[in-house]
Amino acid sequence: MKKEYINIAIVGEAGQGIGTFTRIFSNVFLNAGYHVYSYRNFTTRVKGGINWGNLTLSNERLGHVGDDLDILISMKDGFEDEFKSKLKPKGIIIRDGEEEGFRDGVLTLPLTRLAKGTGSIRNINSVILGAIMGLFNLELAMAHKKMLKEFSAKGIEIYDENLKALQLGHKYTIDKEYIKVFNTVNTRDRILVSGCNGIVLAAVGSGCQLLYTKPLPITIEFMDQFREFTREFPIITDSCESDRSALYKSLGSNYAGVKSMVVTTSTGFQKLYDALSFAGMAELPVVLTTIQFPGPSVGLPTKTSQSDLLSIIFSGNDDFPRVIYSPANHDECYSLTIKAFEVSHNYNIPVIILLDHYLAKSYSDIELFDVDEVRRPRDHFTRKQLGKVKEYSTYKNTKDGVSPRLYPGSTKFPVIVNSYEHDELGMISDCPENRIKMHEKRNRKADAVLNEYLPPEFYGKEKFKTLFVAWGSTIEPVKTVVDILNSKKGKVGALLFSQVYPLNPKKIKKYFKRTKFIVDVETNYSGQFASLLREVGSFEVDAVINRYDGLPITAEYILEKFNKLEKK
Amino acid sequence: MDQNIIFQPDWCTNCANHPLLSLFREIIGESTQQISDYVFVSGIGHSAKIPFYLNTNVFNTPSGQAISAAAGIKLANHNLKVIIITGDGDVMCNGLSPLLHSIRRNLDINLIMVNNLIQANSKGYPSPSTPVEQISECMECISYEPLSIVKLGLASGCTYIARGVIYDREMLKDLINRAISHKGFSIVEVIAPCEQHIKFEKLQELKEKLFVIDDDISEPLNILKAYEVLRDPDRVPIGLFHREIKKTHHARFKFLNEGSLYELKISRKQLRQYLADNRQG
Repeated sequence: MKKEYINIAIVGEAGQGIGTFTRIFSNVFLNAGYHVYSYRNFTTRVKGGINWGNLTLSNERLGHVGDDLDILISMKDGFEDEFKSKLKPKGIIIRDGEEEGFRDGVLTLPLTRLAKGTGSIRNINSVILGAIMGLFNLELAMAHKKMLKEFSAKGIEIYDENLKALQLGHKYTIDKEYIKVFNTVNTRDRILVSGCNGIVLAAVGSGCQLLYTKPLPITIEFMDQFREFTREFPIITDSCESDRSALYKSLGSNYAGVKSMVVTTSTGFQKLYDALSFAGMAELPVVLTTIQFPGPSVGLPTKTSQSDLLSIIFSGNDDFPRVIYSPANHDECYSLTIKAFEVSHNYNIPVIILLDHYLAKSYSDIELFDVDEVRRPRDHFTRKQLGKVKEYSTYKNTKDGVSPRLYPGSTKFPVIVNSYEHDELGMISDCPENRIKMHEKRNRKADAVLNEYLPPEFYGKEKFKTLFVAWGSTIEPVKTVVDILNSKKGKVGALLFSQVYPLNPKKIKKYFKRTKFIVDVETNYSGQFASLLREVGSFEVDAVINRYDGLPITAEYILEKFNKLEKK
Repeated sequence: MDQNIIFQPDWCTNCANHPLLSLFREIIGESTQQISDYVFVSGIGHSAKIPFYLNTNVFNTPSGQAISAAAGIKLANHNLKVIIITGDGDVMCNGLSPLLHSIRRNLDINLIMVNNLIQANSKGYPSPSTPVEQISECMECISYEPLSIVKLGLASGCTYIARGVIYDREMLKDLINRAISHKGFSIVEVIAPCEQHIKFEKLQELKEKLFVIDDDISEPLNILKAYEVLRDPDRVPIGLFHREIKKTHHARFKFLNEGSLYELKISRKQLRQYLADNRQG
């Protein structure tokens, strides 16, 4: 089956309900039998100024949002001008106007008038949704369930108004064949998730009962999702006044035997530095989701970037091991969070799940997973073993450096956690021999955790001449670029990193020998991953394709830059 | 046995932490609570080392964050008795933010703040609670309004606020015991001036200023009386300032009546059913 897709952009003013629209749209079209990927722009403005959303529909699973548009919807006249250059030759514009009709690729519908006719200008989103559903020949009933869920909280009259708006928009486009659509597929076993959803589901599946975070526009989706579970499960969402206290609380809870997770952002991470170092010394597990946005400092808090890689890898004072995952897509947001809980609890080390704003807030459909297959981290002592404990040292020196953890109160033995340098029992010590022993023990865990190493995935032609290197959310667009180039007789491969730290140079070496041209793709100014490769094994890249304007990187952007590179 | 591992307290011979340590051992020994159910949380400083010698669970954190950590421990397992023992420098410098937020939530944990009136770790530099022109020689370092944790507690709605002195052991023991059995956030400030870094004459001056307040001041309706006794800068009141019963933080979660989060786990069967019923898409 040939991969088909349709890219849609909706442009309007902030406050016109673009977020709501993309959410409902994504749901309805997934139900109808399309794979969906949606990302909406966020601004710091509550009202006014341009805002937009991108929606891609396909007959195959999608990994990222697209640039070149098939349909451009303008909710405010003139706003579409910025996006016109992205319109494909056969793309259409849908705009609001009284001169109804389809001329020169522009479909004019009386959107405002129809909306006002149902009771409120705010219902314009439902008119548009109805019109798009008509374009795709979808029956209106497909939208009813989601619309009910979305609008019932506001009252049954609002729901009725929006249903009417849906109908009115639909009438204008059904059976008119303004665009060419492709066949739907079976999407019954798929669910719509954002990066946030995937992480929260994985956390709950792993047995996490506490979420500690500071409520911010970026993090509230985590809190909302987590709180959904509070009605049925012994789960608590704790809204913290600072990221620093959030991580300390999480460490206290992990110490007491309850799994917890912390969600923070680029600026928030800077505030919990000392808590991370404490976690390293105390040898307590940490699962920390960090969402990056452009800086420095507050920067562009509603945009996206991958600009904190190095500052997070090298954070904390003195040496202690940690693991950092950078999920490529929403499936990995789920699977790597499961792994994060396992690794942090089994090895008593911090594990950081590094996302960017784009991955956290974009939506796509993933396969419905089986909760029973989730591997929950096991307690270090089973119930039976608890009864047989004859003595206990919190920081017992072991071959792999991992000291089995007891929870306070589970036996009569004291559990001592210490931020000072300490002996095996946990008592303060500045003895040099003890220091050597304990410092080596803590850092030895870095070797043990290599058992869990996630090597980079190779994608593309084995005998490549050009190699792309990508991590986190640049992985999916790079895969598309590799496919496009190889379909035009290119010899291109890509090395894709979902684990960015630690890196095992032995697994990377062979790719850097064979190739002629290596291109690193990432969304930060200085090429931080390229620096990391150099640090880890003296691996040099030949070029860096980067983006640091705060917008998500797309396959089209990478291709454009790559073609310019080739000319040089 | 290595000489450098500190199994015995290494405070000065005349340090107030010694009698405090034996007081806590006595309190734990006489209590009906199992010793392994206690978790002592502390920060950085000399008084913060007391918990290491109590033969039970200890959670020692970097400066100022003992209170956040204690909040996390208690929320995870509210059947544990969580007691913070730390110094005035630790609480009043970096620890103010977590302190106020824990007070306003009425977490069921106890804060025993040992106030030696200076930062002993820094060999006598003032701490935020050092009295004006009284103790330290470093005049340019002293703030003109020393921070009083008792006043802070009253202003933030803390549900148990007391102040004792190391010189009156019986009263201090009683105040601490009542704090531990109090349901809600309790603060006991222990005035235990550092004899190493504070001159003998100043210590005598301080002792003369102490006076015991009536128990009835602690009634919630008498809160203005509590503020009143604190106004005179030449007198240092000791006793119980305020005590009231308010809902604790973990009491807000009904399901915690059946057990702590530690005991209640997420059932896989229930989760499977929930996801099947609520899947989006």
